Amino acid sequence: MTADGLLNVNNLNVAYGEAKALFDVSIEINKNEVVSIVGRNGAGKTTLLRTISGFLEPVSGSVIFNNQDITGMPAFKLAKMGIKYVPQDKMVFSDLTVRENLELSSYGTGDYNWEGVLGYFPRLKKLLNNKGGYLSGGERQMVMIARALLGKPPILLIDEPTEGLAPNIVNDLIDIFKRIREDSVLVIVEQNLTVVSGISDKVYPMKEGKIVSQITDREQIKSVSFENLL
Amino acid sequence: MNVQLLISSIIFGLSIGSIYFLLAIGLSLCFGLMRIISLDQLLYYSIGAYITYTILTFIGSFWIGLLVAMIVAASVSLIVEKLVFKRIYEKAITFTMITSFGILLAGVGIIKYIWGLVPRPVPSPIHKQIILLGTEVPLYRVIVILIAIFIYIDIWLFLNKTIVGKAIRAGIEDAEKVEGLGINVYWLFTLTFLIAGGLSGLGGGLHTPLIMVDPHMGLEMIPFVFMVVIIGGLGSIKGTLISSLIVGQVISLGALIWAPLSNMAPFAIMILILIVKPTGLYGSKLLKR
Repeated sequence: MTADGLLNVNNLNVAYGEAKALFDVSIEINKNEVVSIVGRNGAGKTTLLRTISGFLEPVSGSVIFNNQDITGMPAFKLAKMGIKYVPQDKMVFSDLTVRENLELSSYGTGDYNWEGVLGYFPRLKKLLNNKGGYLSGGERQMVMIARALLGKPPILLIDEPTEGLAPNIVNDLIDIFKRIREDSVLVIVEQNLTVVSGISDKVYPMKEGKIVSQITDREQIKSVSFENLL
Repeated sequence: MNVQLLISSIIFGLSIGSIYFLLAIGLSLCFGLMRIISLDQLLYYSIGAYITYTILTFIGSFWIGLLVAMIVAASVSLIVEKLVFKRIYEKAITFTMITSFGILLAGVGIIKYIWGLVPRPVPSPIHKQIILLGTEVPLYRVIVILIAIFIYIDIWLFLNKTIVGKAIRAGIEDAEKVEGLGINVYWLFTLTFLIAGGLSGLGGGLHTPLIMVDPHMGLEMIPFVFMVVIIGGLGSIKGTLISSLIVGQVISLGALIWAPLSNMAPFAIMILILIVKPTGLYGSKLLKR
């Protein structure tokens, strides 16, 4: 791991029963980076994020975070350590208000200072007493990211954040990601290549459970034809 | 129909419904949060009854017996959760159901070994009758109803006003997402199991003056408790309360019309409700592990 290294995934193999989903996946994530993982449906992107965040246990390989082996640790412990996963289903607790959704994250992380996250999402201030079940897709995504940001996590793993959202909300989210990156490393699984080229410092294209290349040059990220890689 | 008989039957139905509520609430919470059908709750109900009987026999106090029954039932449920369920939460629901049924049967065997096969009578701790709408009703049955109301309010306050309760409610929607917020869901599972076991023990203890305490009392309750949970909607506290009152009344008033109806009618009501609303009265479609 380099001096700037925050998280290293080494030769990770993951399987669902007999079906293997990841094959010797290795990635390196450094401090102050925005890393995107791109690929078609079923390429293994979500599996990779879920394994890093402790929801899946790998068959072999390791995940090193801040020079500590965290392979196979339970998700709640990793979340407390600051590895937060935002799933793609945009599901907030529908029976709980936005305030209660945030309270739960505060309870989990011990961070009760909401000023920062409500600064990113001022719209949520007006929605604090609304139940999660009555929020729009964009609002739910805001709540999920706000929840994950409590505790000032060093790394945020976000799965398909713009999927199904209106273009103006996608633009808002890109702006917010640009601000969040000052405090947290972002690892984003994304199919929207405009978003990827707009914010990424590094891109890992995935295909059939394998990392097929690593693109670190920002100009190359903007110009590369991902269609050919995937 | 005689009005006094009707009022008396309603009180009878409410008190039976209250016992069903205390049993079904644990079953419902366990399914909602952990996705297990915890038939072993009926064992803690039986343990609650036997402990109440034993303490009453030796010390002479029903109410101390009830308190000890709750503590012992909760403790046994905690041991079972730590030794058995903690290892099988990830297994299929049928696996956990069969396991819990096995625990219930094994527990019934132990009860038979300790207390024998002879049914034991428990006298009512309160013999006083009170007048309700011109009808004399046993005060003990009214107290059972009041205790169930008190428990419902407590559980409501716990689930809605405390952060741990809110985490349990969130976990009923999606336990994995709760874990993703840095909350140890397995601790919530243990706590829920403990509460469920204690309430089942309380239900068993409260039921003792109304029935004979016998080793199969838990097994006999299975169909009724299942009905309550299914009618109310798995995981719903409000639904469990309303359905336990419905089942209690249907049994009680059914018996008033025609005795065999008391056992058949709740099943008919359950089928009717499931046809109209397959998730039960307050069951959520959002339930997901």
